[in-house]
Amino acid sequence: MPSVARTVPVTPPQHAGEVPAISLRGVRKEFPGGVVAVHDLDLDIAEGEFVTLLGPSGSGKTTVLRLIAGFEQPTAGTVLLRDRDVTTAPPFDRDVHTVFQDYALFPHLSVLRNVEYPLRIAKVPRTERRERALAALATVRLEGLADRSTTALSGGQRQRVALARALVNRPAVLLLDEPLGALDLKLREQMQIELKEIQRSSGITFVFVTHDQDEALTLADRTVVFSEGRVEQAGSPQEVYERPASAFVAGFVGTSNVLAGETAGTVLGREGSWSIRPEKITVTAVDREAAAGWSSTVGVVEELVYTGATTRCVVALEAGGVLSALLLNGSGDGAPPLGRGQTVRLSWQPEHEIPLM
Amino acid sequence: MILSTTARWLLRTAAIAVLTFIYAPLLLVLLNSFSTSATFAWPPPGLTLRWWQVAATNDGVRAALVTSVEVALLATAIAVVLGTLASMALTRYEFFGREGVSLLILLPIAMPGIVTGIALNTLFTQALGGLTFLTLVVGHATFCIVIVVNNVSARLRRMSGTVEEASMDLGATPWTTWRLVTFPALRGALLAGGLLAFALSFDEIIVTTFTAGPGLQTLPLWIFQNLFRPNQSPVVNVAAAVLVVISVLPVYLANRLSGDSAGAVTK
Repeated sequence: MPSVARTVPVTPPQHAGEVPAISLRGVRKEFPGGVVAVHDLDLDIAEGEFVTLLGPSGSGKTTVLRLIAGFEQPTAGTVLLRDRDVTTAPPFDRDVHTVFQDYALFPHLSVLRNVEYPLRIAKVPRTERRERALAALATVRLEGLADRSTTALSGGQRQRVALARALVNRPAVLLLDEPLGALDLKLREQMQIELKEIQRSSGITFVFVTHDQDEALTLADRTVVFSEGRVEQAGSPQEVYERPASAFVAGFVGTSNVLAGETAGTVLGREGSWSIRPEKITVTAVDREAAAGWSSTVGVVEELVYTGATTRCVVALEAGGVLSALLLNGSGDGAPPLGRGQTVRLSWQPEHEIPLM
Repeated sequence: MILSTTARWLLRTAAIAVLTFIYAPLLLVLLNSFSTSATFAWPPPGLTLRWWQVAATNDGVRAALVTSVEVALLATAIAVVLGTLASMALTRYEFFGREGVSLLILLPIAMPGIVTGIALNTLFTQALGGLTFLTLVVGHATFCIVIVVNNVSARLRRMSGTVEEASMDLGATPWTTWRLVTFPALRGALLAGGLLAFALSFDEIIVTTFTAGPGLQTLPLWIFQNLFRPNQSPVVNVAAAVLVVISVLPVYLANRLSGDSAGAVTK
């Protein structure tokens, strides 16, 4: 897959000129055995930004997080935190705290003592320590559980303790390594909203690693998509979703709906690879003309997947290839007018044809 | 599993028979230490504390008991320090030959005591200037370390390594992390390992025979040497009873410890 890392703008436009909270310059990480986890990465993260690092497992996103935290040192390149070179600084000498995937709570300490831990290390006086820890527990709505043992908590509660512990000493940067991965869907959605609120009100820079595209788009000011140790695309959730820079991004963020090669030539009359998002496609009876100026093609309905609010309609094109269309189940009459094997016309506005590199 | 009445009856009898076979002779030793008969007449003609008084004032027994306790304490201390360091290295770090080193550390427990004893004896007498109290301690430490490494490694493996990473991430140096996170989590395992090591050292006799300096006697050695002197028999019984209690108690405590605290430190 061709790399686009160096052609993608990675400096957030709204903060250009300020000192970035995190700056990775030419960072490369090679593990023993020759595995390159991160290829020559350049990435600036602005003060107060909420950045999600999105990619499949093994794409290098967690390694980037560990490089920022100081658990790994880069093979080459520089890591700067607020312009301070921390490339070789140990984790305890960086103003960065982490929420771990397995929470990593101290099993022999109570909830309160866990949250107090960073303050105890920072030699904050006992009464102030307690006050601040209780305040941090209140922000994650756990003030009632201060004296519990962490082993008596549910997954969601542990997650909140880990968050309170990482936030209590107000680090410059908070790193989150798939923190919601172990929670069920409802709790996850609730925590996403809370995280966003905490980030907004605290103003702390958040770097959030996830392999879940919905989560990445929901939370982020800016999403950085990783594949095989390289940045495929970095931009706002809208940019990444609406204007995917590569076939990989088009496929990983949202549903892959790519026309390429001969099919693209026949359907679009153009060379190259093109992505069309499923919700942009209209499905009509085959004998109805498409609206003026719209692109259209004909195919046979291969599969209808009903998911409640929407129905996914998979169409095998006469020109070859497959396109999915997403239909909103808005009519409420319950009986979709479509059936498998039916020949239909797909149409869309040409502006939704996104060229892929 | 559902068993037939006959099977249940047979299994119960077998269990009782085996346990009786093991524990009846031990009880007999204990009982005889209170018997008024010096020749172990059965049933005991009467009960007395006379042999315990004799033993308590017997210089040989008392010196042997003190030596045993001293050796066991020192060997345990060495084993706890070295064993903890070795466990940390084996479970927390990757290095060339880790599996090999792990095997070499655990091997002494499987090695026949008589081979270890002869090997150490040769080393101490030929190369290191002879046997002393210290050679005995070092001899015991070789197998005590194994027990500590086993206990501590098991606990470390169950404990997620990210807990230590989290501590350093939150600003603690490696030393502070050890003091505030790793050590408290290991306390139970260290105590259990230490108690077991103590018990193992306290009743050891084979390696002891080959590594004890001249004139040194541990309690097991004293028993062995006085076993066949008819006039000492009742006192031997007392010494044996003491040996049993001091060896069994730490094992019992260690068992309870690793049962209780294991749940508290795992997630």
